[in-house]
Amino acid sequence: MIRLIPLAAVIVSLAACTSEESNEGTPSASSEVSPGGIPYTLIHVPEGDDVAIHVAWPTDWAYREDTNKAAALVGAELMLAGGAQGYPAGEVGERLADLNADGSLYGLASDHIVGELVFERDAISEVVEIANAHLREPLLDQAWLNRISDGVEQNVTEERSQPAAAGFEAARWAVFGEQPLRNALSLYELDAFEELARDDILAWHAETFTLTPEAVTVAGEIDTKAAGLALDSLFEGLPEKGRSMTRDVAPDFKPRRILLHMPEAEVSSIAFMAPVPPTRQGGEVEDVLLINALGGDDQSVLFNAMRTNLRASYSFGAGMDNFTRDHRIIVMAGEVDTSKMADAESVVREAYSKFQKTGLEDDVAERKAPLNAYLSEINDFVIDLAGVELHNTLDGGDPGRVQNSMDELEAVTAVSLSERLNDAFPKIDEFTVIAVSPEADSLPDACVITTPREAVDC
Amino acid sequence: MKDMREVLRGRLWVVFIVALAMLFWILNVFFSSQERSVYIQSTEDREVQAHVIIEHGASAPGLAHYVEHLAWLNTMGAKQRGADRHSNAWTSPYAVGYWLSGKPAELDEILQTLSGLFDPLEVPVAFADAERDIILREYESHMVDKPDAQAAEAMNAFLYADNSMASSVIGTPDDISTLDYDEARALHEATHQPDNATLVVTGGVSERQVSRALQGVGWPELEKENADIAPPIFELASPAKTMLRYPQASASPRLTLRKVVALPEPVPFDLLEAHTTLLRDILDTNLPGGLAGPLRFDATIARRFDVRVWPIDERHIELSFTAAPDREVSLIDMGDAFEETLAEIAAAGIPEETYNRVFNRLEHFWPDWDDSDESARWMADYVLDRVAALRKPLQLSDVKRLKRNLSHQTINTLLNEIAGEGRTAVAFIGPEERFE
Repeated sequence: MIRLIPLAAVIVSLAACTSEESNEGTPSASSEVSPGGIPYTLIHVPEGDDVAIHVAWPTDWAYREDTNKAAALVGAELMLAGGAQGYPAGEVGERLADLNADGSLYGLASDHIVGELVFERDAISEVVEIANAHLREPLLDQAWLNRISDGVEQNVTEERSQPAAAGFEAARWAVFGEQPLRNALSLYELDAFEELARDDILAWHAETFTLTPEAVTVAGEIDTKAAGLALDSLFEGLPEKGRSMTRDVAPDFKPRRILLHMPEAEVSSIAFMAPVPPTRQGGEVEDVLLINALGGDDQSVLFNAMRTNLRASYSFGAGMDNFTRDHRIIVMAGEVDTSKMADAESVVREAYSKFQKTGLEDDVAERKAPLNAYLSEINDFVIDLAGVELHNTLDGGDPGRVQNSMDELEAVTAVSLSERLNDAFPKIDEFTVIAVSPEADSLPDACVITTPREAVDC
Repeated sequence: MKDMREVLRGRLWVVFIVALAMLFWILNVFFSSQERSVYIQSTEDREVQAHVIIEHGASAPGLAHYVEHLAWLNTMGAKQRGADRHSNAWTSPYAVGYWLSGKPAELDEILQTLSGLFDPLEVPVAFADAERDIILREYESHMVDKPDAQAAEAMNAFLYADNSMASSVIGTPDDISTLDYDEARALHEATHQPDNATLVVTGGVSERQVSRALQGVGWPELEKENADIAPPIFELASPAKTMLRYPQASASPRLTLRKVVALPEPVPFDLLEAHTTLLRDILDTNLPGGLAGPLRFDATIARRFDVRVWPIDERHIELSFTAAPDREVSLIDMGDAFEETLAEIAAAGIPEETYNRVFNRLEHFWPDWDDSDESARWMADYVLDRVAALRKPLQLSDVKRLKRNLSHQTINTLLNEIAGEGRTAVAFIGPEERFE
């Protein structure tokens, strides 16, 4: 459940990118429209061989009563692995490896399906043709559907049996109750897999992959003509228009104190969760700095409180995540010594309250330095450029998120960080606390439950 | 008569040239005689990282890891450092490592801090005792409800029997609860000495800056005579096979098969690593000579799999195969199918077309040598990786030569060996009814 916000996530992934193709110079961003009418943002990189194309298609599949919630998860993997018209399963992977190209498809915060391509510019025609076939006419073979569905179901079952994951499942029950989005996020009812039919996948595919994506970005040393033609080839033959989105959901973030009693659990954990404003309202740069100071490393507020001082945890951190793009949360979580659960709750409350009151106690310039270094180096990596820009487009931002972020970072001061802490970060009493423990009395006066579903009544 | 100023100028030039030569000589002697203990790889990074790697030689499970925790507390403890500076520490079966990062201008301070690793442990007894609980939390985080991690420990113990690699780094909860501060202090004193440490500095600093910083902080290494770094000698125990079972009703059924074999002739480590990487890439494909066709695409045996091959040293290689079975396929049948398929591929040899096709993809294993920044960053990772394994890294020119020394014949030789007699451990994880 805990995924960092896009800027933070790419910081974490930076090390993995260091051996990739590097592009020198400062990129420029512009809004463009392909000859076929696809609006997109072009991040033109002055030098380099690699090109990345990212596309976000809107979806409300997760929000509707009448959809099989396993279809999107299984369908995305099936489209990639199961082959397409003219490309039998197992062959295209070898061809992409020859071309040093890669592609992926995944759900993003329940609201979008994101497709990513990265390839060397000289291979653009063939890569786009392969991708188009997989978007337009995937085979969606029943045998492949079965093996992928089995795998996803088994992984979900295993993850759900882990105590900490069960705690987050309880949190989703508390926030969303019986609303369809809750099951899309957690696939709690495994009937979804048993009932999953090829027709569900076909319906999901038909309504999702259309000529009307919500955001498209292209990054690399490529001009508007080549980029536009590539996009038209990529989208060729897709249905004209998708459905009108109805993303109705009413989360209940009322603060609660919940203890999920799991007698068989060998490890205890505690998590604090509360809503924060969505990224489209701004403040993301401040959030990255503050979250890192709160729970990002071995110098953070929570690490000092929980490990160095209370000596109750090996690692205790903080992050932000999107349930949906409208409903974003802050989470502080970690595994704790069962006998120190009550103390852990008090210590986290005290540490967070003090942090919110006093703000950063160290030099703001030093806090900015790692993010500044990341933003300076991201220009070398077309995948990250395209990814950050895609999120920016979905948030309605002006083209050029990386450069804009550097300007935002430059403007950050101790005062602006303090204002962000007070205005956007929740008060400690607004957090829901979810503990998982083999001891039913670990968290005095908490709402004690034995299954995640019971959290809806707490 | 020459102008006196001209004479002096001429003499000054001579003095300057001699001094320059001496400086080069001093630097050269310093870095060549200390190359076993100080490695520097400059990159265009905005920060610098300094790593200290120490061979520990401890055989008691968990003790070296306990020392690592205490030494880091002793060194970093209450010290405040900038928010832009990061640090961490790690323990392997035969070495411990500590690193600290910061701005290039802070290199003196970083090295000064790291030199504290050689100071006696003075962590208060109560804090050192409580650190055992922290390690127990770490054990819970990494091992409890993690059957793959549990299986890996058991497989290491079997595959590497009678070698230091067989020992668990973190130990069991019983091992952790009996960790002794006095024993930790003794191990620390015996191992955390400058003449047993190697320093690796990477990032936005030059060799000269590092040299100055080392001298500026009086890095103890400068005063010591060092021994060559080398990993512990590995000897493979008798060929045998063990089957490990981790029944867990809610776990996704999966199998891990690992095998270690001895090679008839030693192969230089870096060249062997490049060959095993290429062999792994070939086995991973759906091309003739790959496993994906027989196991995944042409048949429904494994719905997914991951294969890896790597060198343990110049004379031994290891293969790991992890896979999830298709419906109606038991773990034991999937394991048998893998071993039979591997034997068939080895008997037939890798087709030349497949070798050439995958060989052409391998260029991405190394950086673009024409890109100086990319090359420098790659070398920084490479040097650190080698030193962390107590191995001497190759010079850049030797690394660049590796690709041209790869051969189809060696790939087939390695394949034959890995499919032949060795020491094998198989772990079954998942619902017990899926095992047989």
